Amino acid sequence: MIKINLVGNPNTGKTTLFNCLTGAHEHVGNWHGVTVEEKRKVYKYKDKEIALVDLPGIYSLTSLSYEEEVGVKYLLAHNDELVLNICDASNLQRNLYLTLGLLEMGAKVILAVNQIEKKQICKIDYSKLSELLGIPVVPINPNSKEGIDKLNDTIVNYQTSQMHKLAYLKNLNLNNSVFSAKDRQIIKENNFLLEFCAIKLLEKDKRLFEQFGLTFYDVEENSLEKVAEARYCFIDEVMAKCSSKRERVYGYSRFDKILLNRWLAFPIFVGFIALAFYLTFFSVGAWLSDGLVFLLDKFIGSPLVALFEKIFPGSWLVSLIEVALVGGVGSILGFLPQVALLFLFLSILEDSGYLSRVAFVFDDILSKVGLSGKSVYTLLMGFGCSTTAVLTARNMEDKNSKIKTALLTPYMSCSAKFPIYAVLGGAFFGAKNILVILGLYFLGVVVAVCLSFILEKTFLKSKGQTFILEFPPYHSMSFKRILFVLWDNVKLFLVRVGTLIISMNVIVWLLSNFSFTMKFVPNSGGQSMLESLGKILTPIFAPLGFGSWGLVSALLAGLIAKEVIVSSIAMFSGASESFLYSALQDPTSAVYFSSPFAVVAYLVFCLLYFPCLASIAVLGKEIGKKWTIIGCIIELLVAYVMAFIIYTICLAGQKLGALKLLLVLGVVILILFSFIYIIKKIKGKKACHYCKNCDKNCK
Amino acid sequence: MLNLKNAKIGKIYNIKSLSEYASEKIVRRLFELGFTKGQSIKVVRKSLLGQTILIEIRGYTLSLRTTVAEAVLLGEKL
Repeated sequence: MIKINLVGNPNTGKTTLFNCLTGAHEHVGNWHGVTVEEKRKVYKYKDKEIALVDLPGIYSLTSLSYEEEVGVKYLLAHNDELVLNICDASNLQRNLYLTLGLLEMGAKVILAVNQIEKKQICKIDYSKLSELLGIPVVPINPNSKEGIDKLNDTIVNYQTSQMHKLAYLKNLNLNNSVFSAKDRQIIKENNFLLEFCAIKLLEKDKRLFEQFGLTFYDVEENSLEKVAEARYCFIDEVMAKCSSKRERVYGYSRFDKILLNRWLAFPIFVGFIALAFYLTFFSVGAWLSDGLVFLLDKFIGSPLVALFEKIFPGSWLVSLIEVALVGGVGSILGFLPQVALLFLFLSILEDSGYLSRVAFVFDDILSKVGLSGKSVYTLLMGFGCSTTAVLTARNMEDKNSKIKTALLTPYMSCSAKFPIYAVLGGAFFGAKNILVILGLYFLGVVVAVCLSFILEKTFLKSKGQTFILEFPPYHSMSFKRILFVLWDNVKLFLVRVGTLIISMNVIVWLLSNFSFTMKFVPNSGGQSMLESLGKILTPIFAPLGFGSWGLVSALLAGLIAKEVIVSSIAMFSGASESFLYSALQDPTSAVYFSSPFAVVAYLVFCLLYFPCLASIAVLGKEIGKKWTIIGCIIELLVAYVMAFIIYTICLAGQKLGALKLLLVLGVVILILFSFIYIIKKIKGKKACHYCKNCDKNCK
Repeated sequence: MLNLKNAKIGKIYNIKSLSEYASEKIVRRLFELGFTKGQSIKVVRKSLLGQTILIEIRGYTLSLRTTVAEAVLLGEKL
């Protein structure tokens, strides 16, 4: 079996090539750092097995962020395997820097030059490039499959004969003699070249020396610069010999004049998001959803119930099917079109290259609250699914920003929470529900921003945030890819509903229909298990206006998956839509809301309390137990306090009248702001740390 | 001293050196990205509050915080 590792700069199309070679369907996007962990797959070419490993993007063999560390460590530990280095043809100059690093390591490199950009910025003489670098070079295009067979042939027939020494290494005056006998032993055991270690010494790459237990020696001050200059000098020579003059700058487009305009950038972004949300939740998505609900009920739900009634008349099984499966699952399944559309819009955003621009535009403001422009990606993905979004926080440069970004992601209202707003809000507010839903999404963002500000000022101050982000060119999405994204998300949703949601519904149904003595409650009377448990907790939630056991136990069930909140409420109320509305207003029912304000409070609580268990597990893995627990506690507190405040304000507004209420709120806000202003005044300004010689206070 | 933070938009400069006060991490990344001595560089635009800038270097586009840009010392291009 041939083992080969796929490496390259961020966003050069590694995963696209990986998918193309292996037939996998890994997530890709036009953004820096979509792949955050290694992925492997074996494929066959001409009866040979090839094991390909896709690594996160790196700039050199020295890692600066967590996702880079994964790639670098893996490469160093597997330095005897083949390396498939992918470069972007339009940005070859910068991409070759990594190639040189790999060659210094003595890696067996095959260079694949990605020509995915339709308009070439410059012409490249590939055979010349191959000759100058001493490695095979294959131009490819993963979209049209051009050059893929040639690349596979090159991998299968790889021979080291072509390799030669890099000319610029002579000028670096590498000192191999510093290494002790013990070091030499380690270097040999790990299959490194002495020269490579000498270069790494000049680069002051302490991490590598620690990883392999080598002794680190001091080197001259400007050695880092010398190495970088030598490499770029060589690259300039190579580029001069094998490429034509560049015609355009990579990444900057004429659209950017408008999209990045100081004053237009924000309205344009908000406009895009608003349009996507409107299409998803209120127009196209809602129509499709209504249609689907109708079809499901007519052709699957009703016949199924009728069938079971015929076979087991009067049995509790009929109730299980009718309430838990048809009613409960049906209430979720209807949201399929909306979830699929939402993910489609997120992928369009991700693929277009616009996200890097958004990151640039928002970096300013986000840096004020301790986040960086790069957080935008993670937070936007949070509107889809927090669990997968949290993983992308890895491409933050410093640890505290990473923790903050990951902790705030659950406040972005994920796609699983939308059904709750739609069903409960829809029952009480009808057409005005659009405002409630928009308000909830907005509230999530505002709470996240405020919380980030507080964390930045207290426990999680960001250290050494840099925000260095490349601009990719814009891409449009092919029709094939749109269909693929839609199908992929439909499949994921159906699997989720078919496994997790169905089993949760059955569990909730059993708990809410059987008592602790295992009696079927609707026949025998008494309290079900869930009712007894829920009633212990209800007093806590009474101040928020929703003190009935059904609502509280729905919140508990929602810990597994947020959709279960809706299906549970649907089950408790008798499972049909007309029942739902009357049940919500009936003081004797299990899902009684004392007023429409209580519904708002409930929705706010659902928005802000714990993320689902899957997210908590990922958070625990990514940011550690301590911060996950703290994050969950904060979430619970924030949810309770916000729900209480909003409920109280609404009630007060009803009693006092809107005008007086506004006055009171205005005074409170004024006091808060003056308080913050005074604290800021006392703290004063600091000088910038680079100009130590100047006395002026920089802004 | 003239640095990338206070460079004029649209004008081409030469990189003179990287500040000795900048952290090793930033210097390392800047070298990797091609900020070598004598390289020409241009600021394309600034963000709303001016804390983030967009530059062109070695034929590609890159955005940076001004905290990083401060570390890049420039000379006038003749």
